[in-house]
Amino acid sequence: MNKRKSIPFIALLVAFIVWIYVKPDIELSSLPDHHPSYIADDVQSNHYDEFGFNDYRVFAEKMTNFPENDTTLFEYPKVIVYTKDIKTDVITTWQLTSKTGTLTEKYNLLLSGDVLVENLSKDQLVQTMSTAQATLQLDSKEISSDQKVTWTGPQVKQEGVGFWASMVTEEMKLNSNIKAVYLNESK
Amino acid sequence: LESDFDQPIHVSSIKQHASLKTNTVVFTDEVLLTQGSIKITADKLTVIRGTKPNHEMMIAEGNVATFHQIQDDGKPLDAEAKHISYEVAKGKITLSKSAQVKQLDSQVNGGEIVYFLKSQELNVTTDQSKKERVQTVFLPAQFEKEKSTDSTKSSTPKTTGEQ
Repeated sequence: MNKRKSIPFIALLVAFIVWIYVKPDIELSSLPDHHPSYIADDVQSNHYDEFGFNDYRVFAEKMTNFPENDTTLFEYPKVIVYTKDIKTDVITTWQLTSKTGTLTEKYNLLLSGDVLVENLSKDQLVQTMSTAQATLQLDSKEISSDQKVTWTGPQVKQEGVGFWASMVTEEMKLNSNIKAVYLNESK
Repeated sequence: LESDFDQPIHVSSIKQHASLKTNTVVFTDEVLLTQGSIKITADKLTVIRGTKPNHEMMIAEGNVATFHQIQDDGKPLDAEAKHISYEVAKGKITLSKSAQVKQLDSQVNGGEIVYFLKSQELNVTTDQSKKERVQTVFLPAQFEKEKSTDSTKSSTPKTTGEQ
């Protein structure tokens, strides 16, 4: 193969070498601003108040903590809250579940997606409360929401828009559009 | 209607406060309770859960709270008082504090009026302390209508309770 035929190959080689130097190196995409400090699966945690009383437990399929803005995201959280009546020492147990949860400022847990609050102590006035989104204050044991809420009790189903409930004082206020049905089956 | 007794009770209002400790639900502002043909309106309705299911005690208060029902004979019965209590299990309605019942043109005032849903029986008692007497006013018009079906046309005295 004489000189004339090899020229195109040499030219190609030179072009390739030049391209290597000219080509900008690929910038690795920088990590997202906030990246989780840890991710936990199948979470089971117990919290104790200042008297050593196990006041709530948090379960979740997945928990992701972002230290910068002190936010923790939960997938399918379940929170079990125990409240003890000071006079009677009776413990009432509440269970809250939802699709997702966002914990901020240590005790402010925003529950979203099919939020269900169940009173595990049977035969009490309020058995279940369900809404689309509600905020649970883990320290004061209060729940609040501006959404529509439906609550049920023995032989009664009630509905309203916007509510506040305290698991400590065991009371609940609904803000508007109240509709209630007392089933009144034959006695 | 007698069938009202077993119907579900619907309540609507603006606000509501429920307390688990006292088993009480308080409805406030524009409260309307309906059960079959029964209609109670009030400013405030307190529902106290009974020991047994469906044994609630409901207390309607207002200035004034009203009660309405269509009786089996089709006649409407209207009552009002500042305080109307309804014992659901017994179907017993008690009106007190300026209680008054009206049916067509007749009207009954009394210290306390008790009305039983099942038997549609009405008992009026006076307020002993005030020495008030039951005042019942039956207007002839009401008698004429019933009497017109009879062949004999006798004059009907107008009865008034003494004051």
